[in-house]
Amino acid sequence: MKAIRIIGKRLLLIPISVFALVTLCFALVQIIPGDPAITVAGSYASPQEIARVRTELGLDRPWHERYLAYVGGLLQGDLGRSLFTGRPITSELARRVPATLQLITLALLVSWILGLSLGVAGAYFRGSWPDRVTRGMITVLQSVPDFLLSLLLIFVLYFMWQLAPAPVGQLGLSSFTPGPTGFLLIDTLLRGDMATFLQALHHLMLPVLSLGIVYSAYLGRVGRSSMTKAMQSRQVEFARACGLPEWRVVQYAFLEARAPILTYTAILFGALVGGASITETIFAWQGVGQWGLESILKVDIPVIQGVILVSGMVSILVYLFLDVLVMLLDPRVRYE
Amino acid sequence: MLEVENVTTRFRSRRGVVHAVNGVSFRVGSSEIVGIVGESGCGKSATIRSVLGLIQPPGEIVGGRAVFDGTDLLAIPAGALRRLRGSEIGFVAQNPFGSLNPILSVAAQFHNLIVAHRGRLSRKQTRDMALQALQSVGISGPERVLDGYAHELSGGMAQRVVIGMATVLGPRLLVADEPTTALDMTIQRQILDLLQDLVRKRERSMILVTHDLGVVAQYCDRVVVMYAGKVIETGPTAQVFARPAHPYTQALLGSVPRRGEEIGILAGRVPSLIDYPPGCAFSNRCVHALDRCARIVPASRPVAGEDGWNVSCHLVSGDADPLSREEDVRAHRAG
Repeated sequence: MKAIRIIGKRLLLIPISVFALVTLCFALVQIIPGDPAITVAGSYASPQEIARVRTELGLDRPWHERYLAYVGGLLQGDLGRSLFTGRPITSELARRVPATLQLITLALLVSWILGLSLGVAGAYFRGSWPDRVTRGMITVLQSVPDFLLSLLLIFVLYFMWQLAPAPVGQLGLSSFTPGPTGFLLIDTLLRGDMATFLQALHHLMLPVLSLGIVYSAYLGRVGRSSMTKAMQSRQVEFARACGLPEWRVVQYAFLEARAPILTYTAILFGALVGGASITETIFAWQGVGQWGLESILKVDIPVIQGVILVSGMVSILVYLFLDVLVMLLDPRVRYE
Repeated sequence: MLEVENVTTRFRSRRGVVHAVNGVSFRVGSSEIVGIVGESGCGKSATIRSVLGLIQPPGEIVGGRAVFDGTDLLAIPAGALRRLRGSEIGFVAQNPFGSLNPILSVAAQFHNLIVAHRGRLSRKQTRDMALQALQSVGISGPERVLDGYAHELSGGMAQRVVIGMATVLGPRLLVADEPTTALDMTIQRQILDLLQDLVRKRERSMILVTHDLGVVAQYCDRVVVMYAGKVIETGPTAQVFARPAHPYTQALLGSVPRRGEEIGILAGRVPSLIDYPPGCAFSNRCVHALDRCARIVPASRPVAGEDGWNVSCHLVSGDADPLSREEDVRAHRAG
């Protein structure tokens, strides 16, 4: 069958993408400005001390040696240790990746509901007032910076109305230790700890809303443009000519319009793994993005590499998943 | 069966209001095939879409009636008109591939169509109805077609499926908008023969929109000739083709290639539908145009002695009817 062949081909591309990602990840960090030896040794360190730190960290070795050592470590599942805390990056990632994935998955869910409602309504009522209203809303949402919206939501929902908890991370003060999956919502449910589950959900509210609302603008735009095109297609006119009810007509249009929407969602997901850093910082989320931002400021090279690698890997996997999904959903690609 | 009266449809565009349909009237009797002909952009499609309630914003129907079996389609609520479409009035569109949903199987599309009009029916029941419909449009191996998708069909097959969907609920009126334009020459005749068969055998009526005069001559009982959003001549096909009254109809028939004759070429361009001309829309291209043609819109008048044969032209009606000439003069003085 053709579908299996295509999936097979896509899977074969994965090692190549991963190799490119690892190499790029290594190269990028070599060319960013700043000397980690200086930051580690401190700004009052003597040149001899700095040289000593550099040797200790292995930064004086030629780049190809470091590259081989890096790849060798990766193959054994070793991403190195933070230059500052000395903790292994893999164990740190195991804690932070679920926190980020949980956050951005729920945020994209909000964006889907909000953004696609706006986009589909705009496309359906094209040219009349609901279109103008939704278009205006999308433009406003797109021009609001995420940090501003986060602060605004904290001010209104936490400070003024006390509807949300303080921005103190995933749980605030709690004795709950995550495991086995690392995803708080799943772990609490698995262990039947409803109180902590609700607490986690409550703490998710503000960051999910901030990210969700900001990114709904993008989905609204994509949804609007692809639905507008689909609503003007001949199959939609024929559906109307057959006397199908309007909800069914919209459904027919959405079936045609969904592929670009799904693809765009995958791109947003990949971008948000490392890109939600400001929101994560504001809410003390201890996620991947926040960690990446901190380590860039400190030139903590192994951590930067780890963060880039993880967000790259998540992107590769999400793209693969969506490619296969879009293909399975479309009979024109499925057979032939 | 269907009486269209003075239907007027406009589209708002950035450059101004497009006068797509300007007071179009015609009637379709029971068991009759009526052809609507005209150049591209003359308002053929906009006219039938107005009647079917398929005009979307920025288009707007500003006036007229379309009485189908005693019901004015333009006055009833959208929901009531929707229930007539597909069940009482079947529509066959130009491009069969474009008409079918690319993601859903043919069976699923039949199912959705049937339950939209007949209420809750099982997949099995709708499948049986679909099978029958596909057999009646001459598809051999309908089971396989039902489980397939639009892109797996050939052009002729896809149009047969579309016709099957248009007729599955037994409509009394079929509206076909250039049903063969997108198809091979060899398939065109098969599809038209099929449509004719479906109409004649079950005593249905059909509106056949086309720009092919040969198709009109062969398949239509009566013809409606449109120009710049207006009906300029309408009558029984045989009479109109034998003695076309309107200069545009004459030019149109003259442009059909015939052995041993020179092809007539119609000079000039169709007027802009935005700056719609005040008089007869054809006057700028008409070789016989009179002074008043560019100023005064000619009314539709019967061609002397012929039932149901009408023409909108000063040359024809003005000469035949002295009263109308006086009217023209009065109008001229008043203007």
